[in-house]
Amino acid sequence: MMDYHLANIAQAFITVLANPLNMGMLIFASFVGLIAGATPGITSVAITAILLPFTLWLPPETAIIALIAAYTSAVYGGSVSAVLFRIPGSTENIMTALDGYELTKKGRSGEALMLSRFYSFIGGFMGGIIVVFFTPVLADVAIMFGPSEMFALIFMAISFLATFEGGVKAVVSALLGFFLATIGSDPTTGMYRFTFGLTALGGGFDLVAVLLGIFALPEILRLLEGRLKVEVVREKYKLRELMFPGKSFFIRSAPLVFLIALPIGWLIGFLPGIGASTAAVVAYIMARRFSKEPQKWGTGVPEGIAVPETANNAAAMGTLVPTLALGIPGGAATAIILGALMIHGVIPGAWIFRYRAQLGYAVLVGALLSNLMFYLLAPAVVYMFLRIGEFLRRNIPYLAVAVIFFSVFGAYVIRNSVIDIMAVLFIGLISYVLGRYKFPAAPMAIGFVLGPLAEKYFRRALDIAFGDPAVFITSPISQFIYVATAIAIVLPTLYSRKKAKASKAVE
Amino acid sequence: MIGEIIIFLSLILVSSYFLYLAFQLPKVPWLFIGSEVWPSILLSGIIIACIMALVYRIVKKNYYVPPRIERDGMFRVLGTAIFISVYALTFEYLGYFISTLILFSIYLKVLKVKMVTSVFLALFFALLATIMFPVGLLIPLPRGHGPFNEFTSYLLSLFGR
Repeated sequence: MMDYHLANIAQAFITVLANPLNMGMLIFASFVGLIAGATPGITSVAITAILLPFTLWLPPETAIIALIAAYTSAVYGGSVSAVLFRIPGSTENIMTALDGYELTKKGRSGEALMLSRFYSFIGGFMGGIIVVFFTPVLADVAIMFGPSEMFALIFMAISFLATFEGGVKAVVSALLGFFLATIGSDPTTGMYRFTFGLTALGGGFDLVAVLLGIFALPEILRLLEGRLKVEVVREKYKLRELMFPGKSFFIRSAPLVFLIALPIGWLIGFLPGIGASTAAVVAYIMARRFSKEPQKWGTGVPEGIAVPETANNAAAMGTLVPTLALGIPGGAATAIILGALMIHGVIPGAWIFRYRAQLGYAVLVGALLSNLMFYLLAPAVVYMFLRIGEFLRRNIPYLAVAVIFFSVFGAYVIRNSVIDIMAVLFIGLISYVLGRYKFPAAPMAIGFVLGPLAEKYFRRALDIAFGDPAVFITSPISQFIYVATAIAIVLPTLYSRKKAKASKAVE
Repeated sequence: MIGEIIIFLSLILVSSYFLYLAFQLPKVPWLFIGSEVWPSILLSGIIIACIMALVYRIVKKNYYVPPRIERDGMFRVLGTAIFISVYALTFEYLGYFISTLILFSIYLKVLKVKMVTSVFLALFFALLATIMFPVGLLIPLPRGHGPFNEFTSYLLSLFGR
């Protein structure tokens, strides 16, 4: 079996690398994905959807490789706008915006973008290796997760949010995000909830509008409170500094990246319907709790970029496992990729690696190579956006109109509805006021992303168990997740208390 | 001091109102978990958390006071909110090109940017929107009504759209 697997992988490398069309589309789609991801308001899902019609005339493996390349590059590209403008290009980059933007404010945007690029590559490439070699095995693990186990996993993310900086304000912020996600039609009954008779609100608030409202608009309003001309030191970049992180940082952050971010990214990526955003959140909060200086996270620490970028890219690769092996998309972008496979007459499932082996393995290898491609193409795009960002930050009015422009158009083009522009304003004003009183913004965004998933799995689990709430704790996987959550929350707290007591005793 | 109390009280009041609305949602008899259950759990959570925070702050007299905003700064913040509202309201009627051109020029002038630069920047963003969405990504944008529609359609025809 293993020989068959390895022979197909080797064959797939030859198929992809020796075919000019495959390589050409890989480069083109990676570049388009990078630009789109780095442009505020265009998400990884949007660019994958936009590219879909253009790939219909291509052979199946080329089309899927192009879509995966665009998706993975856009996931990385999203970190560029998250770092420079505090606008997460995709939901996967919410956590990157926290420390990335703080580093930009300190005049270290070049370093921040180098870190996001390097660790996106590490996460994506290592995630890709796991996907290429272990997809058939991992598919069996993924199907062991039912609704109650999925809910336990989301519960873990929610519990971690409660430990976020801000205490009870973080909890309120997260719950507000969860609540905002319930507005619109109920996915189970189709009943309208809290729409006040507005049909335009039937579909609920759009994710892009909510993210722009939570992150972009409040930041601009905060900047407009102060002086309009700001002195920004022009950063000087040495090529080596833009290519790799320092050796000491790499070694210092290695336990957080390789023992926390990567495994979390892999595990969450493999689970159908969870997606890379959850991986970034869980990895960030777990790593923060196990770091030596958790209080510094969120104020511009390099680890705050390395960890979520590793996790989200590893998970982005991992989402291909349920998509290809089970035919269940791991997230919205992979749902589009799944659709593309079906348009090309390929029915996804475990047999894809047996009866359409050339296609299945070529797609996996293409996904692996797409990480290398964005790593090589990124410097040009990053340099261009760095200079634009520097220019805009010197002139606050220019920055304000640029962000408003991308917010308005980014929100409008998703559904061609003015209600989304109003949603940006409404949520932006609420976030601005709450932000003035130190309510953290990230939990609200995370709550909004996880809210629909949490409700879906909560209701599905209870429906399966005929309303018996014991369903949430009877499965061994759920029990393991709850125990792990409790340990992850309690251990670092005990450790920091012990440390505080020891330092008091020394004094 | 008063600001933080107002924030928590507002959250309690608004959440209570939505909780009331949640309980008014029609029940579906054959479902174990109706549409109202999940939002009710969340809203109850917000109310409980806010009450706890409020009691803690009142008992401990531990309030957060945000930094004061200058009058000019406050004017710019409110101006931006009004600008986005007007922009959203005129977006479909005037069309994306004309509304961007006019309102961005005015907004930049209000932010004390020179008139010529304001108009140039507004034109740049209107053209950027044209090149990015209807021309580049084939995503339609509102062309406006009546003469505004004719103008935007003529402009787009120059780009082959």
